[in-house]
Amino acid sequence: MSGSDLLDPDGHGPARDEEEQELRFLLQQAAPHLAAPEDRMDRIRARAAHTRRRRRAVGLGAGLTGGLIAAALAAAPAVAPAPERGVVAGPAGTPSAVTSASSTPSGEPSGAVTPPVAPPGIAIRFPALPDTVVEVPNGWHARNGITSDPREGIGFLATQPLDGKSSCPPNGGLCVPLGPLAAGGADVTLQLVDDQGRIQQTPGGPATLTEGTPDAFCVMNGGTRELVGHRIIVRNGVPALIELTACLREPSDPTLEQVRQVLDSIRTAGNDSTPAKAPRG
Amino acid sequence: MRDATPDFEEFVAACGPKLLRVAWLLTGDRHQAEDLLQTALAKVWPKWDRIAIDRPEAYLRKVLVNCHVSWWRRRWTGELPHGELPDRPSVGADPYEDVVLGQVVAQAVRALAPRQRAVVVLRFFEDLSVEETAEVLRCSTGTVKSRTHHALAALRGRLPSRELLLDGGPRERI
Repeated sequence: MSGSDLLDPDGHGPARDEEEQELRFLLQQAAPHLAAPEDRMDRIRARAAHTRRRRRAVGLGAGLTGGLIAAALAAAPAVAPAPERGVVAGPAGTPSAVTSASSTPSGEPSGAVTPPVAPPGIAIRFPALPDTVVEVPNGWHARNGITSDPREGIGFLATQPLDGKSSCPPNGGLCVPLGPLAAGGADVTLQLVDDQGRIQQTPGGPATLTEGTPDAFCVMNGGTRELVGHRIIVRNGVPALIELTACLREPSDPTLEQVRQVLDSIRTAGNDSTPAKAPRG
Repeated sequence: MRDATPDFEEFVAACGPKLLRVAWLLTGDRHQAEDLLQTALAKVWPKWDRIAIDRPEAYLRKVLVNCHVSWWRRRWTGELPHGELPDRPSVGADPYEDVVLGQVVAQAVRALAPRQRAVVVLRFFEDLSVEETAEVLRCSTGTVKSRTHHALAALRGRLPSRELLLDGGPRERI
């Protein structure tokens, strides 16, 4: 077919009609009949909820800017050592599993990882975060972080047992627990952030959780939401930042509240507590 | 969070397959197509009570197409769907030919500018009139005609002919 008779956009000659019919046929033939994923509706719900929360957060954020500035200027309760609430389950007082996350002498993860460790409802210290106390909600599980860098301060909390499987980058770095997140579940990572700029930008006072975009690992484990929060503690006499990242799968309100409680509970370990062992994981 | 009304789920079940094909033609990729469809459905869902009253499929089609155009505008590289979707069942005599045809058509359509691609899909896959297409794309009928003209010109020579597909005829191209 020549295209010379088709130059007029409004023209609808026989050749143009034939060409259009041919294109219709091709498109119908070519477009595949793809199967829908089983959880399509779940994903749609999660996306709609995420969008709504983000819009609400933007609106609130605009209104609360002044309040946040005021909060930043206020004294930071998390910076000062707070009285220990409950039992401080530091390495000396925790079940041995807390400190048993081991690595090979070269620093590579050994694969022999820590089973769920923390008795529910108590304050603990992760060996890799010896200056930090965090309270594990009832029924939650904790696991020490496994990294190829012993200086990496990290710990995990989750609503479900953190099994021994981890995924470690081939070139070293942070290993994260693997495994599907149960519906309504949460997987919380606490990490020490060694960045003075960010520490200075983080306001003291009540910490807030903000919506993030679930990263690849979170999505791969079935996560539909990500919340991020920060707390300032004192480490070796200087302020340090603990970043909480929660990967959640269609979380219930109680689960969200527990994540907030975890964030609120992060504080500097008291001077009277037993010194933590050097992190080995 | 509000649960999806049964009507919405029924609508997704009934119209999802066709809209997913539209999304595939717009994106040329099954993962992006599913992502695009879910994005559009997530936008529509909160307003479903109002939308469901009057031509919901047309409304969703409009959202779908405009989402795609806006992705392109923003050079969108955000959330990516994951997981393997099963390949479509073959409907032709030769599954290999189906796949090849899909690839050829997808490649040709993807080479069009996004707005031209939208015009082609709406007019020749969805069989919308020029006026309906203009309404979906929020442009004039003259713009639709012009884009159609340019899109057809661009596709000419890139697509196999129906004769070739039906009976292995001469290798003419439209």
